[in-house]
Amino acid sequence: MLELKNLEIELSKKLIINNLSTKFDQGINIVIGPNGAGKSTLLKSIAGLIKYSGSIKFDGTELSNKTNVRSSEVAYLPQNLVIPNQMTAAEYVLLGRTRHQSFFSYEDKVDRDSVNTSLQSVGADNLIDRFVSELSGGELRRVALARTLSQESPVLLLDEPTEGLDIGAQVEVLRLIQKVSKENGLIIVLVLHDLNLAARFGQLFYVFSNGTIIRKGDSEDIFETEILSEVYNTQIIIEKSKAGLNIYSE
Amino acid sequence: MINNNLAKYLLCLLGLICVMLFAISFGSVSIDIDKIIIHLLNQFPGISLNSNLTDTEISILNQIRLPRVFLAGLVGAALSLSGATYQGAFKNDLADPYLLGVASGAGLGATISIVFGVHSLANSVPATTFFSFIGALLAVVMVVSFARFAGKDSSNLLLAGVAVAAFLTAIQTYMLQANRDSIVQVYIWILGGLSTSGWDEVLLIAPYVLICGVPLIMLGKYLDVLRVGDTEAKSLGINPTKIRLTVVLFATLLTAAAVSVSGLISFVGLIVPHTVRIVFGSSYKSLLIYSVIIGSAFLILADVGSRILVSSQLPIGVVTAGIGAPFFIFILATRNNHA
Repeated sequence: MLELKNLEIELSKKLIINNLSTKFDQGINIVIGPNGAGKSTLLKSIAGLIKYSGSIKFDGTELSNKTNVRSSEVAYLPQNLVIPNQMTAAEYVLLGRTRHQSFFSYEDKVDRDSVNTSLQSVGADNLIDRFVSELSGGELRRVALARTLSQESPVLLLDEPTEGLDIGAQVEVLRLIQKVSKENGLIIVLVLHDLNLAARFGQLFYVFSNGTIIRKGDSEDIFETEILSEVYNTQIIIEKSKAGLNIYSE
Repeated sequence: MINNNLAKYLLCLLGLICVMLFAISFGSVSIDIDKIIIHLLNQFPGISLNSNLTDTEISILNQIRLPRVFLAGLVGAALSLSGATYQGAFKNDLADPYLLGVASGAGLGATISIVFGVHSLANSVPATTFFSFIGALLAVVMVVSFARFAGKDSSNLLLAGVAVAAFLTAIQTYMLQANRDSIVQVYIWILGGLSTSGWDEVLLIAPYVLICGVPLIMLGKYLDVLRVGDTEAKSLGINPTKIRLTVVLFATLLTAAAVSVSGLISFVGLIVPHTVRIVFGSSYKSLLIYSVIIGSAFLILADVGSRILVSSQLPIGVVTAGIGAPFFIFILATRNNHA
């Protein structure tokens, strides 16, 4: 379990995260909320990329401030990926093995096997020798997901992993996340803007507003017209059918 | 990947050995390659073969050709390795070893020794070499200190380098204007040369190539991580600021050592890593190793070129700049086409 207690983050003298306390369990935890609410900042703080006050514990132990140790505790995938030129998918996924290698060693068989397994688990083993700069958006997200898996961290932080993808690729990526979550027993914290996809793929939902989580629960607790309309400051309509929820704004 | 590349590394090393043998045999007195091989084998304990070399040929080999070729190889390796490292650290394909004011510092050091007529120190290392090394080191210390004072942003290093280079060049220009008799001598040093080199210079630079080169090659894997940007690199377990500072320091020491023994030999740190990138790919793990081997071979051949082109021996910096400038324009054109 990932436990956040009294988390506060100030950037440029502005309070971005305000006294946030919550817990994330195994499975897919989806954080929703309007732009600028601080969702990405929250993920960055858990990944140890920005300074914060308060406590972040995994299974009762405070996460390390040391960069290499932190990367063994949490793997993070940002919204906007930097795509290097002339780097194959295998080399890209291998970056996830950085913390597993000592200063004096290069990758070994264990690292290479991990790269292959990670690519296979996201169905991207056929892309192994392709340059990442030449992959489609969906392929790239799959390979990036493989990179986080090769880190072998128990917590995955994914910021808008479906950003810029067509609907088919979005569903495909979220299905993969669902699959790897089940197979590896991971805690996945996912920031997602599309409420329909969130409702379809999430297990627990966290409504983020004004720098803190104002509500947490399953889809029935969260996807209520009044709650979402207030948070997004617009009239949200939720239709329930056998196929699931249909959420849209007026 | 190191295993996959082993055969290619060995092939390149074999090519380098061939280039070295050719360069050693070539000159006003031509010496057979088989005799050179026997002569080199004879240097190992327990081996005593008849090389059929005359005393004059042995003198030429031991006192002129061998130190010159070894020095060219070491300087080429040092400049190429630092060039590739700077390009990785600053994620800038056009970065080269003279980026951080090293050349200006070395140039000022050399100018001071020439202007004040300091010829040698304790009859071994030439004063120009010693002073330029100290000048290059001082420039690096200034750049790193100013950059740290300015903050953690990596661009501060580049900006501090530009400022320090301009400042040191201004002092050098003032000194030359005040001592016009020394201009030609300083100019010859600036163009770079290996013609007066001996084993002292080889022994000066060799430890730096070893002490800085080995850690840099080991750090190559972290330069690959930097290719995905600092935020992702940090989430993958490295500290980008520390890595950048460490590799820049090693690369600059290496450049300072190279510049102090050979003068300013331009474009090697730019041409070689780019050629390697085109032929062998962009992974820094292998790019740095290939840069050492190919850079070594390139400068040895450029030195041979400088001996062929003009009977009085053209400064090697002219040869490398002659090839480097068109290549630089080619890179710019290619970059624009890709944009």
